[in-house]
Amino acid sequence: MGKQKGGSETNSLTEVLKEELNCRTVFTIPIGNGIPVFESVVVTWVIMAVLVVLSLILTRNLTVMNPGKKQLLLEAGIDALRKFFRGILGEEGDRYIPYMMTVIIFLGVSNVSGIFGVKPPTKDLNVTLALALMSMFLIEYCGIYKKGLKGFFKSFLDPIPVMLPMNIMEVFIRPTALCFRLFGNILGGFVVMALVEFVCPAILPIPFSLYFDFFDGFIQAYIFVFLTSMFMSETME
Amino acid sequence: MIQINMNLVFTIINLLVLYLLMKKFLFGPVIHVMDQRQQILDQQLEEAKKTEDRANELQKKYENALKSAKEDSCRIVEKAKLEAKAQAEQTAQAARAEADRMLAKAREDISAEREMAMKQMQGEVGRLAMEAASRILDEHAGAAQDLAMYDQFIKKAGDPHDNSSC
Repeated sequence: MGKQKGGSETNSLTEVLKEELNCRTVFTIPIGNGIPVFESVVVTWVIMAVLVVLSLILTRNLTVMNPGKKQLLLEAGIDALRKFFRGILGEEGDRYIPYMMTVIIFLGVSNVSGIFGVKPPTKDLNVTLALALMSMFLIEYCGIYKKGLKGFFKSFLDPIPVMLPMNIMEVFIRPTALCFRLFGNILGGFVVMALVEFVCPAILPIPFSLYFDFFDGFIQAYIFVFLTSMFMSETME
Repeated sequence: MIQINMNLVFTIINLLVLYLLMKKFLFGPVIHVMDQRQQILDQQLEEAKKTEDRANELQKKYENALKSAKEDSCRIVEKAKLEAKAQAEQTAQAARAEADRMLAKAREDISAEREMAMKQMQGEVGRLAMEAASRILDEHAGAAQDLAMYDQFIKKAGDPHDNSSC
């Protein structure tokens, strides 16, 4: 009897987890066989809209002299991010800083968006893979920009020509690692949260939510951009 | 369950669009304002430094001027003091010389007057004596007596203070 009961609970838990893992299709674009648009993309749109609106509100009435509290806070935040990236990338990485800041803001908001009741876009492998591919292109692009095409390909033979296969593999390993680290962390956090909520829906999830939604979310965003910029500065060397 | 499909492309497009939007609406204006402020601050700092330099220079100049003015005034006062002293000395000397001169003149005058008076008196006395002698000669025609009388008279009249008794 007890086994029967436990079995049904396990079944419903499996259902929950399956539901969490699955990315729902919000609508289908009727072209050819129909292109499904996932929830993650729609949530990304919402996040983008929120970010743009927030930006418009925050950057209203910017003054050079006597900035208000709001502006000071905004400037302090952006300045901190800028200093962080400049510290890793160096002076010549200034042109990549806006993109890196965009990514860290997007990832931070995405990872935390779970608390607003939507599925974090970073829980979808498509999104993290897209981010990782962008990072890969950026890493290789900044190498080419810095050293020229010839110098870039020559750098694959560093430090000794035997390392060539390793260096080529590294190009693809880096984004894969970035992609799965982010995806696994956010998904794992989400699954653990689902389990905790399944076991005890009241009070108990609060500390777990603080850890998995906020702390882990920000940490993963930080790690993603930190590693990307580290790889970039490595390639530029 | 987990599938990779067109949503990957959508997300890439989303990211690019978000990047452009953020750059335009958030980082662009904020960084522009921050750079502008930095520029103004740098400018003002430089200006302040320039002004300070100028002020220091002016202060040095004024201090020098003040020092030289003080020295000048000291010198002038010293000179004036010396001059005044010299003049006072000169004046005193002149006064003393004048006084000496006047005193000497007065003495001279007095002595000259006395001499003149003496001479006059002597002449007078001589005349009187001659008169007396002639009178006596008339009475006692003796040369010896005559001479003795004359001498006696002279002795008596020699004292100017006693000439009133004659």
